[in-house]
Amino acid sequence: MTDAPLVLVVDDEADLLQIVRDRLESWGYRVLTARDGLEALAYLAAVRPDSVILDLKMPRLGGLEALPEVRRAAPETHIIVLTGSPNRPLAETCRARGADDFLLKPFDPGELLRLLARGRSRG
Amino acid sequence: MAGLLDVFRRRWRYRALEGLHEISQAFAAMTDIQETYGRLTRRIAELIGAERCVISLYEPRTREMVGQAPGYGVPDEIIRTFRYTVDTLRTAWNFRTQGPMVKNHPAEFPPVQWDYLRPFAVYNVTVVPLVLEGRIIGMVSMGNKPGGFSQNDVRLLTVFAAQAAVAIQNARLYTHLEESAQQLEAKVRSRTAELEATYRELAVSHARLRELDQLKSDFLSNVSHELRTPLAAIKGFVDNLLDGVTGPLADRQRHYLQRVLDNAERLTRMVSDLLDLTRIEAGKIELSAETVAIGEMLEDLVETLRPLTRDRGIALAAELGPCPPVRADADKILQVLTNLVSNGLKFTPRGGRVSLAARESPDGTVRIAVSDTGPGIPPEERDRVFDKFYQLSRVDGERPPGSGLGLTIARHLVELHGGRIWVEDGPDGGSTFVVALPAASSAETAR
Repeated sequence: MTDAPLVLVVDDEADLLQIVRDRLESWGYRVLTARDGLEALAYLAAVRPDSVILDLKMPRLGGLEALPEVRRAAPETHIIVLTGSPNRPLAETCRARGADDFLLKPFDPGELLRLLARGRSRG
Repeated sequence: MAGLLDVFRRRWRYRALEGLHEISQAFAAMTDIQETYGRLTRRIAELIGAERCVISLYEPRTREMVGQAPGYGVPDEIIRTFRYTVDTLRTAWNFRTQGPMVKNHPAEFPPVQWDYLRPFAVYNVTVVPLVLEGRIIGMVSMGNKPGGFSQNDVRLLTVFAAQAAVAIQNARLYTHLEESAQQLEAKVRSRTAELEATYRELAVSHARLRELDQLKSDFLSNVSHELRTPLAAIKGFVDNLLDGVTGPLADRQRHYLQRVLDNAERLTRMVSDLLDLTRIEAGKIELSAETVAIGEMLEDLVETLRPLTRDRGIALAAELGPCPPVRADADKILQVLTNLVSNGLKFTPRGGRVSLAARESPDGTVRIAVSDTGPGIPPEERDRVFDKFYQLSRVDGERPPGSGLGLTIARHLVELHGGRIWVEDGPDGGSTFVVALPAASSAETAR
């Protein structure tokens, strides 16, 4: 069980955290959840997840602002931005700040699984 | 004695001519009416050798002769009090029948005239009318010539008066013109100021409109985000349930949840369609043009959508021939074609067919046709299908309808590319949607 991949999910919406947690756990992932960028960075000081799923619009520290810090704290981690803002320039900005993938809410679970698997095979 | 008189007379005539000449030269060019009165009265008084001279003008409005300052030998404030009604004047003298009035002794003055003349302290007086084009426009009054006014003085004065009348008329006309010019200038100034004020108001309201437009855009993208968040939650929970994350489901539960999911997805599409259309209508869509191979795009599209068609028993195929590339925003064209194919699938009954074809047209466009074997669209409705929120009745009553904006967005996107979109008769009574886009070569030469 210790071999199960670890995913840190960062979102201020409790509903979304639960949806993603239940889904990932059903796929056999271990899941940590954080409510904003600061909580996420606190986790990253102690653990090294295989993937981070990061929302953009959050209180205290948003995903866009947290991205460079997250990347510095976890250079090998696969970072997926999961946002409700459909915007191509935004996706480019996220990639420039260290994100690997960009997924729109509402998301297709199959697509999320594919991205997570790709991150693991790459890592 | 006679010789001396002749010399005297000649000198007199010479001075008179000189005076006339000067008056006609100077006064014809004189434009300041005050200066005209001052110089005329002075010149005439000097020529005749009288101590006082005043010009009065007739005011038709009040029927009065009104003294005009400055005069000669009379203070301005006294001249300004001089108003003499013509009716009174007529009782004393009639210029038309009696000619110039000469009174060399105070005893000759009628009593009514005394009332007017007393302030001027005169002991003799000569008055000559100023006549212009047969009308009396005023008079020249002279007073206090030591030794009295001679017939010669009166003759000279009559000639001067004719010149003076012209000079006064010129000066009046000029003053009038100048006033008109000033009024015109003032009007131009005030109109210019009004225009400038209007322009400033327009600039302010323009800035305000831009601000409002920005607020609207911000609001819409916020609304879009706020609507997506709960939709994402609904879809996420239902996805989890349907995929058995919480355990197995009964068939009816699964059916109900599928309906919830379909509707949530439809609402999501409507939100993004509305946002798309708002951006397009606000001119906020920018195309990132690249060279697009339409054949490859159609093949990819068929591969992507084929899973949707199998369980509905509809054949989906692309018939591809040689076709030049187009210069286009690949994402936007894909969005248009996806919409057309999705529509085709929606209206095609089980066992039907949706096919895509692309070919070069002789008019320099690449024509992409999306055909279905659905019920077709009556000719009279073919333009209206591109209208906002226009919905056709569907054969497939199970699946929820779209946003009613797909074809409107498609038309906007095609037209942004300089292309056209329309509907024709399709195979087996169905419809064919045609998108014509400028071929890359012709689009390049058009630049």
